[in-house]
Amino acid sequence: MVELIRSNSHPKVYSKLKQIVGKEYISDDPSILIVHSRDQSPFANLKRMPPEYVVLPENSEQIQEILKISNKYKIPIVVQNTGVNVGGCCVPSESGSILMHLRRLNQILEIDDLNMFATVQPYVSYAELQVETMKKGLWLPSPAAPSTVGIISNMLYCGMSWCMAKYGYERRSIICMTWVTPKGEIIKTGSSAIENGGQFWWNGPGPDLKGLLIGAVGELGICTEMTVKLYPWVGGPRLKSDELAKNTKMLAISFNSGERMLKALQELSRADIAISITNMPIAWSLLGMPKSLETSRELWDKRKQLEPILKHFVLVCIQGITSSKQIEYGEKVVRKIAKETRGMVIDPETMSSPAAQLAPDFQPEGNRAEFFRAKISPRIMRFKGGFMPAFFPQEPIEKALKSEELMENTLKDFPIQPQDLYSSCVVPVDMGHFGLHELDVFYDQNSPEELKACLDFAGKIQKISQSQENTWPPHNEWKSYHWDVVKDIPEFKIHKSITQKIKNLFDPNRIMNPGKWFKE
Amino acid sequence: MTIDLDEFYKTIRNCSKCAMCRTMSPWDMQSKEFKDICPSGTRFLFEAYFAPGKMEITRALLDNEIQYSDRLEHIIFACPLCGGCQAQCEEVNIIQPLDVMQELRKKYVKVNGPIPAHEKFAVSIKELHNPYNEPHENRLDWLPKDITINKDAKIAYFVGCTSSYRREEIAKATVNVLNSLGVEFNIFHPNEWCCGSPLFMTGQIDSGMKLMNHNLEEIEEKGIETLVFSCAGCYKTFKGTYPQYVGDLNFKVSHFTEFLADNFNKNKAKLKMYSKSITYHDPCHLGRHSKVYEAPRQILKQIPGINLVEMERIKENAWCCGAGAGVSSAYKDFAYWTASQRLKEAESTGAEILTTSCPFCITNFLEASKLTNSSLKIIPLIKIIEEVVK
Amino acid sequence: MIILNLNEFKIEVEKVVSKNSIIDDQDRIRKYSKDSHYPLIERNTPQMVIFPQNFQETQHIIRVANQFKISIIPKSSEVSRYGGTIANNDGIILNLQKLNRIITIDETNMHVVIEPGVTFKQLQMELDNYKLRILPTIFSSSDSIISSYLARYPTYSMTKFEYTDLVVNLEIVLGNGEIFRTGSWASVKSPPVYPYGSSLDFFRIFHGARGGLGVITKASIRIKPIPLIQEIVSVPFSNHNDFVKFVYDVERKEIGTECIIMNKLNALNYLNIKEKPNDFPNWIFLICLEGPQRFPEEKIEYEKEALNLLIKQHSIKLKMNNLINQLEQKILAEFNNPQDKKKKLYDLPIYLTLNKFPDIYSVIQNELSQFNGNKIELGVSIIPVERNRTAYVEFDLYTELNTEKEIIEFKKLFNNLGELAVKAGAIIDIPYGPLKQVIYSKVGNYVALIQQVKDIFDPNNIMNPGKIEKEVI
Repeated sequence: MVELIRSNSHPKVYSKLKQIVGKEYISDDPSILIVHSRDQSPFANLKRMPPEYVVLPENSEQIQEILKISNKYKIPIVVQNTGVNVGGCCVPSESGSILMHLRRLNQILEIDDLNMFATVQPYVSYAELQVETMKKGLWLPSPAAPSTVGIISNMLYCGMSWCMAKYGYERRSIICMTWVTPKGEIIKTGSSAIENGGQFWWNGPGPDLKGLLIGAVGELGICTEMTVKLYPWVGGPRLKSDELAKNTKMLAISFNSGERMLKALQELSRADIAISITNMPIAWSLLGMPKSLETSRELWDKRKQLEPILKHFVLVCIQGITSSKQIEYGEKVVRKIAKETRGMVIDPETMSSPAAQLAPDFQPEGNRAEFFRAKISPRIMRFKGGFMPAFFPQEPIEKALKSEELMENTLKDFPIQPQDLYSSCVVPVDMGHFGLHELDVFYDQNSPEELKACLDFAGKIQKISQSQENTWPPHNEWKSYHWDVVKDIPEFKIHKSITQKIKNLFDPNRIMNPGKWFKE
Repeated sequence: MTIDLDEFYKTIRNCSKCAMCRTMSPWDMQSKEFKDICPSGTRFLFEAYFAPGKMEITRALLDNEIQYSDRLEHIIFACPLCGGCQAQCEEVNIIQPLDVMQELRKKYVKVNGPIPAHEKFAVSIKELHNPYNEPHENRLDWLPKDITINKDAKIAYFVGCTSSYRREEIAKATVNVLNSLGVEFNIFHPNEWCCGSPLFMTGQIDSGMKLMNHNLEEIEEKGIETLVFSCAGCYKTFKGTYPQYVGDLNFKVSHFTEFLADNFNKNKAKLKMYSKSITYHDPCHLGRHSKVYEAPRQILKQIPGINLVEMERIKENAWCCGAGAGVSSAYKDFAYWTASQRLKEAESTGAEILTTSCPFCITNFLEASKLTNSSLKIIPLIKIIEEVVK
Repeated sequence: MIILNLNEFKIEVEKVVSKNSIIDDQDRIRKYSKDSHYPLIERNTPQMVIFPQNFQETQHIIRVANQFKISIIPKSSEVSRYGGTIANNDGIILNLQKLNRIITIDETNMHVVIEPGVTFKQLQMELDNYKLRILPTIFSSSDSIISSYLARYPTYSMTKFEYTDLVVNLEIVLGNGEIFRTGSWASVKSPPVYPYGSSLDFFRIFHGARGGLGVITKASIRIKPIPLIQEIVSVPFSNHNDFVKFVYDVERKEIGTECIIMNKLNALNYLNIKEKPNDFPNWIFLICLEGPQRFPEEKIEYEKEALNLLIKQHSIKLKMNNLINQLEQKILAEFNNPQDKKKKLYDLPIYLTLNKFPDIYSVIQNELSQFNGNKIELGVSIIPVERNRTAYVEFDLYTELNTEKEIIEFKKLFNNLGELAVKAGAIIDIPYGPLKQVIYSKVGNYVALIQQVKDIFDPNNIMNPGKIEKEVI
């Protein structure tokens, strides 16, 4: 069993914290604390330590007061929003921490439907914001992670969605932020940095500081408010699980080669005809679509029979934002590109038929809302319990095959065989300027051997990728692990040095979520 | 269903903390205001009160990382076991948080005994066969004299403790309706004992099984083929809980809504007008636990004049009334808080009447509405039926 | 305190840089003392101008400047704007116009790698061979691409949110002389396609830094295919209140790409026409519909249909005459290849939500009407940004400033206009001259933090000091 580390070294500050938040919103009871000792990341399972206190502040002022105490007594702080995280970011890496849970900061402060933006607090999820904005003909594309995830934390964590060809990475939708630094100062970015500036413009005076705060995995402070962009939505005021959104058409294209699929992804993205263009991984289709685990298992066992259709598979979602003729036009372009790249266009209704023949209760019809408001990604995880994005190259789309080859070759040498269950997909970003290529492995969380094997695998493949010309190391997950991986690469030395200096600037007492970037 | 916690350990550990269990399904969500599904977590806010937290606590107990404490007791028992978390989890995973929590209660009671408020009604059930500390001999006092009972009937009406002692109008309305529709039925008294739901739901299994055995013997002796319930809790106990311990029952178990839905279809022309706008609350024991969602709605839709306006959280997404699983005995404020949230939602539909098909829900809504000064009329579904079949 | 020791500095620099690349002749340097926004920006003559020829020379100069604590002001465009390259104190201009190589053109992934001296015109000529295009800013195609984008000059294409992040990766010589690369370029072998960091999002901090953090020596920039067809549609309005709702409706339907709304004065100035004919609308909305590679006519057709429906719904009567026709042609050319504005003007560039425009316009007009100084004509241009989530509004003040008195009075007026605009909810993204006080008096601790961040990248504060910090006021 993994050792559980408890604290005995920090001064007791219970009464001081209680004075700030009130007795109902603080606890040091072990049953409350233990819940925060692990999450689903492999890293949080290596060494576990519950916090010393859990506090639930109500507003920025209380957060500032808590930070004052933390700085005074040098007590680490970890911040949690919705806690939907596979990166170990909201569990303590040091004993004796204060876990600050932002559940009470849960308001949608403003939706400006004329100027297409909304201001939210940390505990507002994509689903919650979407239900309100879709009524007004707007939306914020949901990430591929469950739409119960908090908007602020997902954006700052560099979340991804199926809609990145048009809308880019989640972080592109950030307009303004209100930020409480570890020292307890409040910074506002964008137009909100200027008195009376409002929340509508993402550039503040001078250099754009918000970039420094994105990707900080909680180490540079706490975002207590964020203004996000909204986009036109013509899919109807309400989603339904068994009906596709209004004014929307989905098309699928199947390819018999990865190369052709990648070419099609590029052309489709460049053609600017859809709100979503993505390669759908076969694991997603077979493990995610069926509600029942038995059906998933049945289909997975028979996946070889489905690979000809589902292995190189692209989904395109077109909306008639301009008019219904836009859908006709978009479909025409899709079919043309499919022809150019020798892909077979499939009506999604028919697409399920091969799978339905193999497993009669395979019913993707109940998942029609998934594309717009994600829910099914936990179904992928239920298969084995553990999930890890092992390799996350952001690369030119056409290079994805090489990364895939690298992944498969590296997997072959492994004693544990996660190749039985791994999933890859290529999602075009920013009109096909590059692609996110996500390669996930699934492992049994209850097996320390599998866990170790996956970590070793991730480390190995990232090291190997440095010698490749087409890949780029993973983004924000597991930063301290990441610096280890890239430490031999000279170009990263200055990155690390500057990141450390920025950390020192914002957080001289190193209290803010320590251990996530650098091993403290 | 019952599970063995030790055997289920690995599954518990694999909870991915996707947070689906905190709110209603994101696909069906209609507003931010009415999105929550977990009363305990929404009220008490600490992560430990939501299902992922409870799974982690269960794991920690099995791993001996934590001990029992007052706070842990609160986490385990300040939960109406509504199953909202399990309904959401079943869509995407296999963690079964409701079943785990029921087992956790059993484990708690085995080690520590029942909590004082639950022990109190356990004693009453043991001595008086009802949790209300009322004389057993008074159990049938509600029965109107002009009701026809057939001692040889194969259909029996299981009244339940709440309808017998607290919501007599429900019992009366049920027998009136059965009579009006010409249904020949029997009643068990003096041998109807509490179904055991309060005991089963609070981890007091051994005591619950004694009641179960008694009731089943009675039913067998009387040769009952169909047992009709007006209480969702009793219905669920017979339908869902008893078979976990004794296997399939050899008689049919039918909630009055199921029983009447068909009947109504045939007798539609004979129903009186009832021109009201009504919203229907799905009791957890009838809805999520027993999957009976359509029968009550079928009935309402067949009554001429009724305008059925649904709340946002309905069927498997319904928000609990807050009273169940020993919460109203041990944590009344919490029970009322939960009910007041539901009343707010019901008011938002613009309906004049909130109706439901469980006496426990009705009781909690009525009590809570006094505190919130709600203008909603809260009327049991069986009373509405009684009025239209008169 | 800046210490100047020019001769020693020059000697050190000449160890790597050719003498011919160094100008310290005051006659030749004088032209660097002012930019296109003079006299709103005070003039100040630098001590020297150096033209590095390559990356190594650039780095060497920065290192030596650190040694001698000499200010460096990077400059990449022929025409400088907004005071970005006017030294606040004594300093050296680092003129990067000779770093003008187009290093790679990647037509598959639609990006180019260029040096800072590469202009829009230069690159476009090359891209024409590939049927690709660079998206220009509204100023001039003779400007440096890198410095224009990083200065956040507005582009015509920013109407489409897909085109608002055009800079991908940067290679910078920091103020301390170290090389820093953003995004996927941080790993030298990786292609420059991914903008964001593996940790922090460094690339954004160089936007709007005005050369205050380092010298960009290379950048990868996004390009797009040249559309097969481009068609301009113009819609006239008589009143500034009338077009606001129309623009919202058009952009909400994501119709078209480039879009601009101009008042009569600006429109006629585009055509170089001094008279103001009565049959020319007071306001004109111009939108470019693009037909891409596949089925171009069909795309234009459905967009036009949607646009016409909106025109009908808003009861607008379309107008066509010779001048409007000329304007449409001119604007199309302008969208693709912006020209330097011929008439002298002083621009008040603001961002605001378009629904606030009528109020701000009234306030500006009112203030101008009360001005007792020189005759000022007011031109207005508006570009919806990201489908009109925001709008770039440029109030162009056409006037002649010939005397010191006129300049002082005008500066006061300009300051007032800035204050009024900000009070009414606008943002000034490039606060220059009198506008700097307007903005920096309202930013609280933000700029103090910028100074601290600058200290990390430029510990000796040699990089264009005083442009992004507060103390210059």
